[in-house]
Amino acid sequence: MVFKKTGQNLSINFFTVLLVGLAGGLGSVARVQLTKWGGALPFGVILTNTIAAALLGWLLSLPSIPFETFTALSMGLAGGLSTFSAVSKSAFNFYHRGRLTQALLTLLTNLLIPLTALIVVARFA
Amino acid sequence: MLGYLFLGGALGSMARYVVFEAMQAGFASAQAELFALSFVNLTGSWFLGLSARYPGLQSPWCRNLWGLGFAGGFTTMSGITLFVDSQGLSWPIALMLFAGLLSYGIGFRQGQWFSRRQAKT
Repeated sequence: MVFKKTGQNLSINFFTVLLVGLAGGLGSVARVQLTKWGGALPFGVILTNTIAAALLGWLLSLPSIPFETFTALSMGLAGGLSTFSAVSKSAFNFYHRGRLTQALLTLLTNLLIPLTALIVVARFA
Repeated sequence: MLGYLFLGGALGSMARYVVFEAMQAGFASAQAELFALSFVNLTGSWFLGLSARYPGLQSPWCRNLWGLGFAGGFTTMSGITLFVDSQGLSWPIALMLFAGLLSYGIGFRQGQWFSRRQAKT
């Protein structure tokens, strides 16, 4: 099953969607195991987002990689491993308990630490 | 329970991929990525908040399938980091972080409302 998009010559291949799903499922299982690590900040969530960003950085540093493999690993594995909703949940829980500083730190660290990991791995891998 | 997590994560990731591809077909590249990121992350956060309290989604397998699996797999932080790396940190991204918190809160309150309504009946 292939949906052709004439505007930008893009297509959604059913096999690629399945690969993304398979990798995304594996990433999600790994994410849930790692996000059990909590504390003053959701360290497990920060860790999974950082690993996912580092994986993306590594993929970007590769000279050549097949399109399906890149899509499965970036959209599937890294996408399934990283999570925005858990960041929102953690920040909301801190905010709900009146811990505004921890809520803000949750949002900031989940953006800045993974971003640093992506830049470092992409530049130096 | 890992099976439900896997299935939910797979469905969420596939849905996210289709949303990104569909947005890229309709908009210019950077704009499409921003729209797709905003859509998946805000709706995913809302859904996770709703599933935390919605009466019909409180069984362990439902939480694993829809909350941890689907909502977690549908949303993405790695997409945001990649977008910031290529486009730079901009106010829509900062706004998205706070809007995600708000979306989760709205979903959570809606779930509570459904829960209270069911308890009354």
